Amino acid sequence: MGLMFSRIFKNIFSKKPIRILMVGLDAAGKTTILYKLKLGEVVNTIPTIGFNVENVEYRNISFTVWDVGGQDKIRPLWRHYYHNTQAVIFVVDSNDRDRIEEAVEELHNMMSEDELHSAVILVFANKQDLPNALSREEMTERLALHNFDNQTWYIQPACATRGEGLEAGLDWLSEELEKL
Amino acid sequence: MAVRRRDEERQLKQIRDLSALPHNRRCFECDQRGPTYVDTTVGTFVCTTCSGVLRGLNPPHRVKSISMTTFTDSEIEFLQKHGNEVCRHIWLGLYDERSSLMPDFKDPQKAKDFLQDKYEKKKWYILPEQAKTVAAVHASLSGSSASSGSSTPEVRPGKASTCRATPTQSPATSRLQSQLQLQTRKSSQMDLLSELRGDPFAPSPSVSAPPAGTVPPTTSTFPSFGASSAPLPADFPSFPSVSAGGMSTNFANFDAFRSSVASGAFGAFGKTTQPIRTQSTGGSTTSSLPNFADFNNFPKSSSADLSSISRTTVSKGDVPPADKYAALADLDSIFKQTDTTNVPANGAGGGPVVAKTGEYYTGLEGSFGTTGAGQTAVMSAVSSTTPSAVFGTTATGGSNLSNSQSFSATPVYQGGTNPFVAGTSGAPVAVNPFQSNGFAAPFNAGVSVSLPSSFGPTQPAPSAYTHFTGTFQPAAGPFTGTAHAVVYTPQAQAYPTAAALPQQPGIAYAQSSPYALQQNGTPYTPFTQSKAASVPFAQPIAGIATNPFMTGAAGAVYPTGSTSTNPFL
Repeated sequence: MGLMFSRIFKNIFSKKPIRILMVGLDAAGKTTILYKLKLGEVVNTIPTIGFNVENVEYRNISFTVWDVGGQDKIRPLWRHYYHNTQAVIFVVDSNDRDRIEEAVEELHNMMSEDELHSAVILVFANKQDLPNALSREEMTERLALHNFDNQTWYIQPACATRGEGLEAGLDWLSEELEKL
Repeated sequence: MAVRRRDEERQLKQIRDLSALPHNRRCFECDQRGPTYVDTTVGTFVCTTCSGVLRGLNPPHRVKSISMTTFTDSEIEFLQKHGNEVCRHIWLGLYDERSSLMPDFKDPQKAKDFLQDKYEKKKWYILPEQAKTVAAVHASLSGSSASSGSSTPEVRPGKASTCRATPTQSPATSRLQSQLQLQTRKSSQMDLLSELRGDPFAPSPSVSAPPAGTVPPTTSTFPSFGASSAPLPADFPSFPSVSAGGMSTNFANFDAFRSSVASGAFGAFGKTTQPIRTQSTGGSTTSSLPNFADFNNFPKSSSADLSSISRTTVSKGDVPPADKYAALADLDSIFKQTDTTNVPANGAGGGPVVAKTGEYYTGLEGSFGTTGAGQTAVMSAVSSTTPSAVFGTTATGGSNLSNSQSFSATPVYQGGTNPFVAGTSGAPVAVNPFQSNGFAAPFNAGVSVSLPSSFGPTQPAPSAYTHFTGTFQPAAGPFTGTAHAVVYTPQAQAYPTAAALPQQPGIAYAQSSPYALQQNGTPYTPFTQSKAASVPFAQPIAGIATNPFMTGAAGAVYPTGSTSTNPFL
């Protein structure tokens, strides 16, 4: 009885704060995703210098999403956000085939960090609306996601400007995070 | 590691040096000072805000922060070759700074709309090669303004005679041929038009009446325009290539030009004409050719002038009724003669044109020892693209016009075989683009093409007409009396076509068919018949607005060519 009560209490009054780090190459669509989630609208973004952080409430979960600039000289700063991060959202521009390799490198470098060994990985294969976009299967292959043996990962095709795929991604995240 | 760092430092320095260049000190899009980003897709320096919009375009541009990204050597090289100045001529090649306002970049939506027009719709885009020539022209113009005399003096007067040798015809594709023919016709017709301007438009309604159904009334109002415009621009791009000695590039450009940016080329043309004019006024024997040469000399392009052409200042003042043109009908017989003579030359087709240009080139060089090779090249380019129209007209115009003494030397061109000379006999009519206000030339060309349509009875859109008048009038000034009379008759026929839109290449081709007949050896039957032809002016207004050539209306931009600001004048 006490246990049940506490669960109800928890569900009603406390939204579990989850710290999420959203990274990816520059111009992948991270900021657009963040504000699409937060505001439900597409904002005119400029390249992020530093970071944006927003609380996004979804399914009784409070996501604190850190959106960190992805330009190559400031990527080393990502590591300062690793601490206590429970989930990583890695955003890839599906249409930018030239830089897939660069993205792969960044993703795997990052996920090899100790601080992220327990974090779940959600990959947004963004910009699916563009004609040359890689499919989910191609993306999985190219990103070598199957190499993540010990980590939980999921790839979600998305189009941030239309909002497609974003909720599906958060659904997966919330399910995974509730298991924790 | 150390090596990499050194590389990065070197590259960073290169980028910073580039960004310190005067034209790179402001955002390419919004003109804000101190750009912090590079658009590596087009090779420009932009501000942070604009970089955000650019990367949201479709397809997205790649933008990189100058300070927060590393650049590759190829990117740096790309930037060195481009930069804001070069890109301005490419992406804003057709942009008229005077007529169109820059959007308010503080409004993100307006900024985005503008950039979408600019990059997605390529509204003002010019092919890079063409942009180069245009830039060169601008530079020359600006340079000339600074020191007007410098370029021209190089040309040696009186040696134009060498040009005669020019016509060597080589086989060309049918298409090219048709185009050429059109052009040649245009030239002849153009001449007529020019005369018309001078002409008081004596009203003889009977003439205006369309004689035969040969020409479908539905023909697009200004079909000729499109065709004519295409050739002219083509010349421009060829400029650089020509100097190199290879004419082939010109042709390649042809198609692209038509479709994309005829107007831009035209603009260049108009300007070129100015310089020529000045020379002619000077009364010096120097031919127009030398003037062209001058363009090359100028290394830098001034931001200036393409826009001027695109202006839409149409003087709707007095438009003489179509009937007046009818009076010219009498001259038909003359016209026919001129046409036939001209046609064979045209028949040579694109191939021949090239050859001709080459010849011109050599000839010119011989004659104008001093003029740089580049200059001659320019000449040739012009001749090639709008062979008949430009050269023919100029030559004739020169002879006819009292003002342009320089051309008197040109008689060489008029040789019967010479393709460039539109109608040797009719030549007098020629609207010399160079001599007359620049706009007039392009305009005329367009007009001539659209032979089928006649102003006559059905003029749906008077506005179009007015338009014409605007352009023509300027020309009239230069052309004085006697020459006009002869030329005029043929031109009357030509008139109808005046309004052709540049973007209607298809139409142009359609018209070509009548010309084909000519090739076969049949005399200009279509022409003669079509004189009266139905009036296809339906589109007039739209045509005017959109048509850069038309808009160029003499009054606004060029009329004041004589103004003190114009270095040439």
